[in-house]
Amino acid sequence: MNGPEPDSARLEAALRASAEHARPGIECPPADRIWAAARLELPLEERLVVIDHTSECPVCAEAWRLALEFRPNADETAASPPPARSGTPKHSPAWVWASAAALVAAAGAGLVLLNSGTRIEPALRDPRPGSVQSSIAPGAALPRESVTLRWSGGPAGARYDLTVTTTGLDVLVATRGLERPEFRIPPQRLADLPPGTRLLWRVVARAPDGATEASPTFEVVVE
Amino acid sequence: MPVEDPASPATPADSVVEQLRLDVARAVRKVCPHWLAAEADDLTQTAVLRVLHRIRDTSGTVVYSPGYLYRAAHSALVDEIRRRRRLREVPIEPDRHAAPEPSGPARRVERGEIRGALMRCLASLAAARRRAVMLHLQGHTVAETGALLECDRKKAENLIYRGLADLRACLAAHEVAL
Repeated sequence: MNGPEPDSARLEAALRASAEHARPGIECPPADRIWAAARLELPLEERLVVIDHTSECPVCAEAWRLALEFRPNADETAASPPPARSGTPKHSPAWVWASAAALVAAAGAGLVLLNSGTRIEPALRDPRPGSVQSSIAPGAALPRESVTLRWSGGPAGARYDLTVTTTGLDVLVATRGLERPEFRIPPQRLADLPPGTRLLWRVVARAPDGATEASPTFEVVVE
Repeated sequence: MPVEDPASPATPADSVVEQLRLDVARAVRKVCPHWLAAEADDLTQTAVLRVLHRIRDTSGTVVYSPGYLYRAAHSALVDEIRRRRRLREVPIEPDRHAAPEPSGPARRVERGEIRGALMRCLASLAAARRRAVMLHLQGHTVAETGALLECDRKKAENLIYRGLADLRACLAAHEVAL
């Protein structure tokens, strides 16, 4: 097995789309609890309750994604040592106020996972070093005549599979075996899209030995 | 009793607040559906002002940190998004901010059915697989998923792989191909 099925961009898009008209319920956890769960600040049992809720509630799933997107400037805490986890639930309002300084370290310096020894950077959605990354600025707007997607990384000698969809799940490009880490979307495939349309794109790098490495889902805007 | 954090000033510097605004707006535009993303500036202003008011309300008794600012901004933003979602009526007419819909009423129905089928199929998965798939679809790597579920990388990978297979099988049974 080369890892989990990498080509799930449409599932991701469908999950996001499920939040389009969703409404919060009375059982939704406070936003701060979602933040704490996503940042490994809750003990496992309480974290699982929040994760379970997000699988039923598109609004809270969205709040989870927002928590992953929020991060202070990395420079401010770059010198802070990784904090030790106490394992004690700490989420009362008083603690929140009293632990502001500790939060900087937790948010900015990463969390040490005692069970596996794995260190997780605070920006959970960032790809790991060496993984496939976009060479286009996040959310960049490109003229539809020249929407060329470029990326870097992946194993040496890799070929690339590329999938591009709209946020409405329509597949615009699904091509395999690209030899170069770039692809220009034919303008005619973009002709019907209104200006400002967001496109989601994802790359799977296939190494000569068959191993695969999937990129995160990137976003680009068509002018 | 102020929390001592020598690295932080007593009040937010303009540059910190401006960076916070930029990051909040970026996150809203990236994560939220079109009708909310179109209100990103307004949402950002509301969330950031709420955080600043909260800081002022402490009358200097709490020394904030940038990490706290982001956490508080997330909380204020999510609260405001929830408020707007509760107030919003589901449009019968196409929303001017809505994502481009595939043409034809049949396709619109299909999209609604896809969303419904996805949620039903997610709910039908075994708990451990559902959690792993959910985190995977939220954008977490295998290592991060393992960390959040407190299992090793191999197990996390296995849960995602099998969970996605179960999910696709369920969707196929609903005649949905994703």
